[in-house]
Amino acid sequence: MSPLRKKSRPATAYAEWFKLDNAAKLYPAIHTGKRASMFRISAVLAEPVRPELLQAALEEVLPRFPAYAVRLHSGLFWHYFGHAPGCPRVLPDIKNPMLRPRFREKPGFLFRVFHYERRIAVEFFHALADASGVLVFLKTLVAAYLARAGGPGVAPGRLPETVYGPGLLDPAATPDPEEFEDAFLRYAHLHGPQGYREPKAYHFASTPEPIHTLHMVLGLVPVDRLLEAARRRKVTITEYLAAVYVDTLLEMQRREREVLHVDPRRRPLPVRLQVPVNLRRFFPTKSLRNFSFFVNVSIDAANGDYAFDEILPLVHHRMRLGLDKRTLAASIGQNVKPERSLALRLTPLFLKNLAIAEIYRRVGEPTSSGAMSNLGEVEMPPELADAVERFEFSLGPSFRIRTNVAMASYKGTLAITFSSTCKETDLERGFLTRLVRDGIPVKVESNR
Amino acid sequence: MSYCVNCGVELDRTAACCALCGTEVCNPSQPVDMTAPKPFPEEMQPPPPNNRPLIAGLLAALLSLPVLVCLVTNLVFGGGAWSVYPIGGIVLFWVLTAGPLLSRKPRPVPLIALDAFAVLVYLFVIAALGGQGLIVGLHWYLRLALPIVVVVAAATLFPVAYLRRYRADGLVTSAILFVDAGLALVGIELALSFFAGHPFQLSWSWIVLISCLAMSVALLIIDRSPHLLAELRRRLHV
Repeated sequence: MSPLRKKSRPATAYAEWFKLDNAAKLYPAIHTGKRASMFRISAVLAEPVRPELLQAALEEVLPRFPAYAVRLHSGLFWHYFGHAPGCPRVLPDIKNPMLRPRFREKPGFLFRVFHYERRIAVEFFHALADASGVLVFLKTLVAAYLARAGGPGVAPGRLPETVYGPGLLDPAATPDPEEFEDAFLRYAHLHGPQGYREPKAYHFASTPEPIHTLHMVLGLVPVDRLLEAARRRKVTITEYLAAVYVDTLLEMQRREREVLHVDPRRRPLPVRLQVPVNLRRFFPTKSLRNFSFFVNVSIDAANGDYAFDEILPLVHHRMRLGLDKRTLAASIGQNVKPERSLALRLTPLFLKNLAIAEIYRRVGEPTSSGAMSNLGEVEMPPELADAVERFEFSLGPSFRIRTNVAMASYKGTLAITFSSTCKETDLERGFLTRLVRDGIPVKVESNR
Repeated sequence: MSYCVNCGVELDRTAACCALCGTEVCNPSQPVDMTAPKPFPEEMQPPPPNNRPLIAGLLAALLSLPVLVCLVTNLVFGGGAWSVYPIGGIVLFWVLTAGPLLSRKPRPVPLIALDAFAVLVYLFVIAALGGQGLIVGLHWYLRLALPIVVVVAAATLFPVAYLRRYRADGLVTSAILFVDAGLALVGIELALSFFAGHPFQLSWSWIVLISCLAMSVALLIIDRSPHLLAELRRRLHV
């Protein structure tokens, strides 16, 4: 494997502007007046949040994350991030989260911070960072807030040095240049095999809600019971939940075909699930920007009906195959290659935007039935652990996929969040009742 | 704690019904807590204001400048009513662009009809004010311009209206477009022959129509036969 010989620029060079990373280039091109790719991570504290202290904490923390204190600009050939002065206001939370950012309005920050009762939520435009980078920001923000407000086991005042580390940054420290890195460029393997086009995937039929509506269904599940169910079948929790998701979608397609009297000669479509992978697990970097990829888990419904126990090994092996380090580097290379083409680089931005949006419309969402993102187990330093009750992670509305699933676990509870723009709850119900049938208790909270 | 009798999931103490199936909570030993805060906020942020009418207004303001310049120049220096042509062209441009901007939802069918109507009005103005008089102007307008615009508008409207109502995949869409293009060309040639004084004479468009029909039938056959489609994909992949 030959990493690209592209050196990172020093942090000082990024003070005024910096380029979008390889994955980020997609998001400004595909956003519409109605939707943009957003995601949200929340921390539910043990005590109600005091907005004025949260605002002070944000003002302290943001200078430590200069890669996020930016707004989006359009150049002649590419978008770029430029420094945005000031600090966004902390806002009361809303029922319809993850609205698209108002790029043109000043100060134009690409993230928002909300509070509601005991919850602190941050919402990010995906071009800025992926969930792993944002989790570091949220944990640092929560720590700075707790240093002011105190909480169970935390006395107000300066926190001990031991709480800080790679996952929770010291707001007083100087930003590391590597935190700005576009790590895709460092680890891309450009001479891998060519990618191939996936066929169209199944999208469940549903009734769309009016624009700017986002239903959230949160399922709280004990990790030990989930782990027990997964171990019983010799798979990981993510593989088990991906199999539950695929099984639910296959069942929905079966039922839809019956109800809608679909011509049996018409092939049922494959169910394909995108499972994002944090590439930092495989390629070390301190980058706080995008550095994730995804593994496709696909079951072709045209092959016949699959029982849950038949789906599980398929999901298990497909995920393991997708998580091969060299395969991942080659896949990154496929995405990095076009960016290095001189002809493409010299194409004006508006043409690039049109082309990227069209490609995404044709081969992006149509080839995927949904996304299931597992942020994994979130850890807080022992000094702050009791002051935080749980972490939640949710994906914003997609364009064609009406329901997305994201999850994060903390202190033995997995919070599974379904974010949906349709009236029906068949996917949520199918998924969560499947867990209940498997002996896993589920508690449901919702804004429906 | 209350559980949904349908789904078996535990519900939040503030939930009056199950978020998954809508079944009402009926638990005499623990009634719904109406005072505790809900797990999610209830206030919605209104969507950002729609600024597209503003853009249409701005465009109108910008375009009014050349309109005024033409009008004043024409009034001051004379030379006939020549300013009607550029002004008509500018108004036509505004109608074509402002329609989609002022429409709240995508409504291609009425917009295409409106555009065709605007083009017809502009052509009528040219025909009526043309140097050769109203009779000659109306001759080419009624026999050539009107039929061609109507045929082109109908050929655009039909596939748009059909494909919006009935979903079709790429092959069926292409088949519809081929038939549509073939029929449109027949319509245009009929209009041309009518204008040339040889009504209902077809010389070239029927060849195009037959080719288009053959292409459409082939596409529909391929669409109906998954094996043929797979074979073609295999042999013609790039």
